[in-house]
Amino acid sequence: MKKSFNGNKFFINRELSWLEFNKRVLEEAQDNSNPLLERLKFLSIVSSNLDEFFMVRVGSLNDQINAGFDKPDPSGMTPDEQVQSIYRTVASMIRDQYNCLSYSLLPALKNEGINIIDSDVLTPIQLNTLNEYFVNEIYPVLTTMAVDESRPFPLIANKSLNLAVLLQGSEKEDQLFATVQVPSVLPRFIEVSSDINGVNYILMEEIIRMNISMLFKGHKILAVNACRITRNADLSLNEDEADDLLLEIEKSLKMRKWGAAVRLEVEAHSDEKIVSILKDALELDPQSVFHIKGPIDITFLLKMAAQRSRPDLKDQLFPSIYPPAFKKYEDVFSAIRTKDILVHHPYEDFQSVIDFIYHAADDPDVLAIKQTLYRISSNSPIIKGLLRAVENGKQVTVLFEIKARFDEENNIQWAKKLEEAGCHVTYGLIGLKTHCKITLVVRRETDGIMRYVHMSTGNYNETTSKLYTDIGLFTSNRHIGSDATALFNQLTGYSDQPDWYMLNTAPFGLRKKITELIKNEIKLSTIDSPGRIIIKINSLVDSEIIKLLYKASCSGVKIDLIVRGICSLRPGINGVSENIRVISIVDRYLEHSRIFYFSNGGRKDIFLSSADLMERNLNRRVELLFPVIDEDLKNRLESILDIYLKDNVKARELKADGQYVWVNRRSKKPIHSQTYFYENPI
Amino acid sequence: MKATNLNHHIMAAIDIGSYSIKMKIADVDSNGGILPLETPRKFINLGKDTFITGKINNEHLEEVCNILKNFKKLISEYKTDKYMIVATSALREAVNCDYILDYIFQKTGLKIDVISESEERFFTYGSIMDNLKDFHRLKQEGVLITDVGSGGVEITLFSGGDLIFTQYVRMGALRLKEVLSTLERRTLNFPNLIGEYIESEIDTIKVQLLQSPINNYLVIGSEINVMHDILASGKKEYNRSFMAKEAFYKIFHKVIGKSQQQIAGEYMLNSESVETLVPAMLMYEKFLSFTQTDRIFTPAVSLCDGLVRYMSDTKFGLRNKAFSEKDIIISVRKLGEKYSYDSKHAEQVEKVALLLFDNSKRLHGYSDKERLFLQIAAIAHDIGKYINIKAHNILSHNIILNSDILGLSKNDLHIIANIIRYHANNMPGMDDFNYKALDYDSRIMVSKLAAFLKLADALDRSHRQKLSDVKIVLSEQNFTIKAETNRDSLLEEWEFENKSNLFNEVYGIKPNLIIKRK
Repeated sequence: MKKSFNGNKFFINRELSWLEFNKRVLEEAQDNSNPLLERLKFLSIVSSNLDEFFMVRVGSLNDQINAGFDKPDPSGMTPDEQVQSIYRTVASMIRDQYNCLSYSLLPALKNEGINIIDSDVLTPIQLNTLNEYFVNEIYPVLTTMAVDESRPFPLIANKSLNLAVLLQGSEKEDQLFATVQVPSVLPRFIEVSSDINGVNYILMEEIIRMNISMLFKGHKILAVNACRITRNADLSLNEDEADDLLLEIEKSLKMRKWGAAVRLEVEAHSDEKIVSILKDALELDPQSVFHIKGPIDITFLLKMAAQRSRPDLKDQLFPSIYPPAFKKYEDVFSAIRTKDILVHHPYEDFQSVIDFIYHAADDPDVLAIKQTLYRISSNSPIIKGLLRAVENGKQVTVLFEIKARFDEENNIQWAKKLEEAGCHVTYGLIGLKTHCKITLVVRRETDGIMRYVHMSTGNYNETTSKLYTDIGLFTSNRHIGSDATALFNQLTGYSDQPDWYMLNTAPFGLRKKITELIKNEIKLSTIDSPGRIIIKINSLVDSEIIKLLYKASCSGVKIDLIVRGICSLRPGINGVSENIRVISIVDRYLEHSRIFYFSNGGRKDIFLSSADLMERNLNRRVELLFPVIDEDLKNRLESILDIYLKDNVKARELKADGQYVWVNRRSKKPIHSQTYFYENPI
Repeated sequence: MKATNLNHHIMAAIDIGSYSIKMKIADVDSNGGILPLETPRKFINLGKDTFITGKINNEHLEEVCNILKNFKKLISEYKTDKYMIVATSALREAVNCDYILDYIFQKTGLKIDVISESEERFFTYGSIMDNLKDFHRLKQEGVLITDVGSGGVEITLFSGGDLIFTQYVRMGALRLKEVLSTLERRTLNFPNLIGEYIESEIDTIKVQLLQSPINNYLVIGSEINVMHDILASGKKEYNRSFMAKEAFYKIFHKVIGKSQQQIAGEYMLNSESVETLVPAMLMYEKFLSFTQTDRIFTPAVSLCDGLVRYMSDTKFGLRNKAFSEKDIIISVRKLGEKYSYDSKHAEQVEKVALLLFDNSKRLHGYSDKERLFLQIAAIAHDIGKYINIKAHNILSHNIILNSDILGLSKNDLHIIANIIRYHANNMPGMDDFNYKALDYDSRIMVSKLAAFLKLADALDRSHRQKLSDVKIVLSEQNFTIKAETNRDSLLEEWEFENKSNLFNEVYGIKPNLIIKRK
């Protein structure tokens, strides 16, 4: 009997699965075996994750609801049901998060001499200093916004922290409402003093609150409460009609600040009048209002954790090593020509990738450098390398994805700078985000033209390369070189869809390839020698692929999925997915590498990719799936996967009910994958 | 230090076709090795314009300029100036072709050669050996080659190592589709209609092809690659160098009768590559049925491959492995046979004309290409006699102009036809429209080469090959032809007097003839 696997019960809603992921991040903050400042960092990430989740996902669901779209997703939930469920889950998550902060982290910080103090414990001297600071530094940059008949409700910018103030009007029963933004140009926390208890911090909003009467002279202050609004920031562009994409994006960026509100955070025990004024003005349901028991927006904790020079409260440093394969050769090109080179970040230094660009820029025989850029750091050495190449007379082509969400502004600035320098900058294909990470260097050598290619699972970003696990491949394989050239010709619009030798690209080919690979595994699977699939990705949502994996499971294929974030596949259902095991690893580094393993009757096909298995990656992005051919490198990747699968310290297993549980160690030797890779880098 | 190597060059070829503009940039070495570096391709339906309205429209023209500008940029990345840009039927047949070429030149600085069907074939076939090492064996055993382009199909037959037949038929895959598109709505069986149309077009050719058994079938063209794509889908290993007859028919029966959208959807192909699939397959099928083979050879060669091969052979002075001038000459002799020429006379004139040419390089300064023109003219100079002795030089002229000769451009044919026209007692002059229509260099070439042909023809006036041991003595002031005979050669001597006038005028030397009795 042919199974269709279409039932709702076979899929986990992607939003709820994402919230599960964020819960795992929260667990890292709660885990007291982690160093204190790392726990602080995880707690802060829970918040910044939620911010983005509300802006993008909840924003987009609200758009769907407003447009009257009520079709259920594969798990059977309508947009409205999803939003209801999200608010419920988030409410309890935030409760857990702030409990962790108040009852675990803040006391622990206090023990270590780091205190966040309230204004009521300040000494007169401290008070005096802070008041002076207020008058000189804070007061000049504050703007108050009052509401009355002549002035509309103030526009409160997305994600800004504000104080909402209720004032006594001139008449007895008259009440006025005003807001003051906590200036984002000033630090969120101020070091008040050090004493025997350690260092004392006070939050910016507290200093303003202490002096609020200075801002509203002649009015009696009835209530002051901190609040924060999150707005829908899901940019939707009409690319087809946009003459100048750059301009269009700049315009819509301005719009993002003022999208419809999706969440209101107010401090616990806020004045009811203030909450109701805000709620009405922002047209929010009661469930979108979150009462926060503690400081609102605790992303500052990340900064605080970073600021303290307390190595004893942080993870042991894992310095990266320079990829040894490069050390044996005079230059990068002869190294790559000799043998393909795999680089596992952050265990191996991303500097090797930067050096590749710089060598290409300075080498007299290099004719051209072509690169895709998606998310780059604000002071990118990669870009500097490209600018140097232009100066040295190389042809430089950059495929700049300026639609990379929340990085648009940074990217536009760099794109302009590169263009001015004489670099050929293009912005990719209409309707598709260029998400693949690839660099091509064309070099004239004595035996003809050689092409050197670097492809990676992660961005050309030296900052995130220290925090994300990614795998890059350097190769001089002619077929890959030829495909890389063809890919750039396609991305620049110079050529239509080419024929590929070895690379598979989304849209068009990647889904087809993965489908073929899974089907092949099904075909070859027998009782004696079952097929084998291991996939390590960040998210698994695509229902077609999930159904195919179910089919593979039913054909006896043993499937291991290492999915860090969202996983809509439900493992362990009898007759559907009992051969599928799903684990998630959340640890100090963000798991980001994407590896695909298919046993193919013992031949072992291994691929790396920039793509997650989500509709957007497979249909609306230019992604890359590339094979690793070198046997040694294949073995290395196989053992990397093996370690991930054996992880029993940071791995959680997804159960059929959608819950994640710690992998049972059963008195086995602990295996902590990220530590293992640091201790055994090659 | 910069790596420079004289044994490596970067060369580029651009083919402006009816359906797409393609480029090949390749790394070429002195041993004849060609390594493709870039092969971008942009779909643009110029054929639709030309085949339906007769001209290329302005929007398409702008697009062509943009594509060429981008391609030029890619070429410049390799810092090379060795490239060729050619255009085929869509431009060749457009009434506004000249304006278009000029516009493109103004916009992009690129000069485009509009090449003939024969040149297209010559270039394309030139790279067959790069993909099919066995080609000489096939030529020996008999091989039918069809190159289904967008505008036309080129049909060539080799047997016993010789070129037997070659012709261009204006029924390309895109042209068929466009020409018959108005009928598509009126029939439920469009493939059948195309099939009938194809059959009617190749009726006469069929007779000539079926004279001897054809043991091999070789297909060139992009649609066969689409068929390979379909067959290769889902397979790990797939050989694209041939297609079994069985496999061909499997796809053929699956695809015929399906709409473009169905085919594209079913096999995950882009709709552009599917558009001409059905008409092309119908043609393959028709020709396949003429042969006794169980597989189709499909060496992946294209016009761009051929152009790069041609440039590389020229650059490094290599002989083309698949085709040579010998093939051209053989095809001209076949043409002579078709018109029942006097082969012995033709051979004698050819021999003497080339002797004259080779021994007077100082006078004419020409090289291989002009020598080939003279040789062709010498072989074919009398073919008009098939129709009528009277004014046979003009009839020969007309036949040549309307023949497909492998490797020759339309302009080449005009020159050869003119050389032939003036082999009789007439003299080239601006009163003749056919002569006046040529450019200056071509006119000089016609006169200089016709002068040789005239003398060579005179020396076998009796068509009896009386003279032997012909030798040339060239000094500062004298051009003397010495020959031996044991027969009466008065007719030849008399004709020589009559026909040496052009030589005298062109080279400023009056040639002498000394005949020694054996």
